[in-house]
Amino acid sequence: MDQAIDKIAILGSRIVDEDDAGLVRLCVRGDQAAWDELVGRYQRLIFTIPRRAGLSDEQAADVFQEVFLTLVQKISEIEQPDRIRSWMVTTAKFKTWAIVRGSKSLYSPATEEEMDAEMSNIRDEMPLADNMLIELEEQHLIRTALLELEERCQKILSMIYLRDPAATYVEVAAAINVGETSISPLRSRCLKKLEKVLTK
Amino acid sequence: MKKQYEEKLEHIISRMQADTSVDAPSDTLKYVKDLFRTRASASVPTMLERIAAVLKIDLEPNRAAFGERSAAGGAARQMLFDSGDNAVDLRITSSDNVFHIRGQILGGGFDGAEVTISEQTETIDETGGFRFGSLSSGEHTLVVRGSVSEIVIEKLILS
Repeated sequence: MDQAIDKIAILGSRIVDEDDAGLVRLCVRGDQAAWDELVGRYQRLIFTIPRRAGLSDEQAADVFQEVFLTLVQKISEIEQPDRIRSWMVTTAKFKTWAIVRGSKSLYSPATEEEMDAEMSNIRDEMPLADNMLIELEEQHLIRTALLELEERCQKILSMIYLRDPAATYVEVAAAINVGETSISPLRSRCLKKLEKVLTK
Repeated sequence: MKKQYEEKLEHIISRMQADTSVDAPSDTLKYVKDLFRTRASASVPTMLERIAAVLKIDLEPNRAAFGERSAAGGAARQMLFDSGDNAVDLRITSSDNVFHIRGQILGGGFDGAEVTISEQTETIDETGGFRFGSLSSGEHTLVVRGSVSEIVIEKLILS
């Protein structure tokens, strides 16, 4: 029984440790765990793009499903698996725009070139300006990097920077069971580790 | 050098603090995960020309997924049918008891296929998409006719 649990843990970490390109390759081979990890890794980013463009939660869910539906269809045709994030963001942006401009067409350009050509025909890109998408992608990378840190660092940084309102040092100290004076140096160390993960 | 590093940390912190993203609704997540499961478990190709599609997923609008406390799904009813090498995704909306279907054929082999329901026929677009409007309530049969085989969805009840 324990061996079985160990095996599951090993298989689980194998998937979690895969980079995007590795996950895509496993998905092409029909690996459900890889697909679940890919969806989990990108769900926030892809759901946030239509929401930040002003779409309702229902419309955002529609865009979200269409992005992954298109990915299921085209995953074996992805030529650069390491650029899957860019592909998904562009697809989400395109499908968001299809709704923003009132066309709920299921049209899905076959290539990135076709998508770029279609996008260039859109006059007003303000709701999905490039700098906004860059910000969303950076936030995605930070969230993903945070998950690579040890649990204590995840907790410290999440409580201080992701919680609204931010946790006080007293609250963080109580949560991780250390003295209050330890929080500041721990916070600095965790930020350094996060920066290291982001730049690797 | 140190200043550059501190600026980088400040940038990371500001991005974290500005992160207002939320998780996608759980029923939406379940749908896209099941979508892959359905495609990955497609059965061995059959020699039969007429393939009966089997309902795999049926999500009512705004219905909470099992075990969930609330729903945040779309306004459309979503149905996914499996037919071996292919799947048919349907999204059904209605107003005043008139139904509209938006669908997509997943998988290859049906380029230029015709889709028929209640004497309405549409040719699928380049992505396998099709649409029907003004359908009445009741039981329908939807047929996708390709060059070598056809997918049949029987007892499609619009209500």
